[in-house]
Amino acid sequence: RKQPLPKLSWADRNQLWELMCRKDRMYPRNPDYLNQHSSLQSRMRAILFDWLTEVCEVYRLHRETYYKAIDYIDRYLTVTHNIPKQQLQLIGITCLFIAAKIEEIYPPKLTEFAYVTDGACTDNEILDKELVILKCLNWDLSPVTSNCWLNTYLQLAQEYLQKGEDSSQPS
Amino acid sequence: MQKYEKLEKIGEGTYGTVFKAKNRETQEIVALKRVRLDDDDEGVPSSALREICLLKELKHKNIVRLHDVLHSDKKLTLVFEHCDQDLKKYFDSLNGEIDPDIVKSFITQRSNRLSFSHCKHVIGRQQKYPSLALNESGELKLADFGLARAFGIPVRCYSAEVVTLWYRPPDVLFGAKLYNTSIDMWSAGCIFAVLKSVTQILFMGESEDEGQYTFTVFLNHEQSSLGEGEGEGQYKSTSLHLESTVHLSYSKYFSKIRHRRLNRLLICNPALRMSAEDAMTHSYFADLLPSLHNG
Repeated sequence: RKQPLPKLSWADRNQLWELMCRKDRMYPRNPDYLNQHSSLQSRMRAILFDWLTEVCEVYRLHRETYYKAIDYIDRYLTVTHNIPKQQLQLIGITCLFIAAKIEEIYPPKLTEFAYVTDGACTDNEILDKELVILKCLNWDLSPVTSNCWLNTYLQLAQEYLQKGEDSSQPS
Repeated sequence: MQKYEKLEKIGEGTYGTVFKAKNRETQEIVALKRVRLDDDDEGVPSSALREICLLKELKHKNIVRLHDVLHSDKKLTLVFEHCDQDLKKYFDSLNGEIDPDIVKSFITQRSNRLSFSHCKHVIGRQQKYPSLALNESGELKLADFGLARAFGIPVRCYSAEVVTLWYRPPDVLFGAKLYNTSIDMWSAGCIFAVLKSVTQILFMGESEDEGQYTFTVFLNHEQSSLGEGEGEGQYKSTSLHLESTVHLSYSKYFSKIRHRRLNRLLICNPALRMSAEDAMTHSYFADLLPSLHNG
């Protein structure tokens, strides 16, 4: 892909763009993966993600933790087939559990993740699923998330605005 | 696990025991890091998660290679390439004398590896010499990635409780949370000094307070660059407990090991500290074989 970034004050633009594109290739998600799962509908994915945002809010998790979990869920469902809908919540909370351990300084405890499922998932189910998911994801756990992409764009916008202010002030 | 024959215990890592082992099929010698997964625990430890996913992205001759991750009930086994000894053991075997060319070779390899992983957007946060391993041909490998983390895009907060205390840069020690790859460069400077003097540790403090005090002494002595340019607001003013006993031989010590390159690494203001990439092009390395420069 052609390098579209302007000159940056905080990073080498070629390196940054190369990294963002390389990671996109390394972490493939199939946008049509729901076709592989006969009992899943896109509405269920939306409900799961909404619920996960609430969990993140309760435990005050970082935005990046949430987006990492989303990446893990989408990639897990890309490489699997016919996951029953009853499994969706377990997959979701387990991915958030993994993402929190990667991303947070003080991640919530396992029992706190089990607690928010209101009895739907036990500690041991989450632990078993953790290893299944990690293997399916091939231990690739540091994607450049949509949150990171947005971060880059926002920093660009900020730099652009600052430049505008500087030039409008007489020196 | 039938694939490997355990030979001997090498040591304890950040989490779990490390064994030397032989691949029964290929006869290759490897290091196995055993991570126990207890029922009442938090699953795969975060340090193991981070180490595995980072090492998968960092394939370089100065970084210890992760061959495989095996899972059998209640334990994970990480299969690493084997290194014969760590830097500390190597020093202990030298009785206080070291060839300056070896120092240079080690530092080049270290900088090379740092510059590489910084390009791949990983901060090590744990540069200390026991986690640097050596193989038979004198190749230096960075081994312990338990505290390392990937950074997506610069500008964000990280934990201030990182880096072995003796190698912790002053900005982090005084509470800065917005740090970047410059923290590894401070540690690199400390290790460089350790190499030059063979074993003496530069900023040896037993606690954070002591560490801060040590720096204050160092700063007064050096009339350092603290406060110049950006990053100034990140230093927290701290009341220091001066009664702690600290290692105080720096002034004398510094004149002995004074070195231009060291000065540029041990700069208090992280914005002015030399980057790993710049370090690689420094004249200190100019007379080395070009092969060392290209990982």
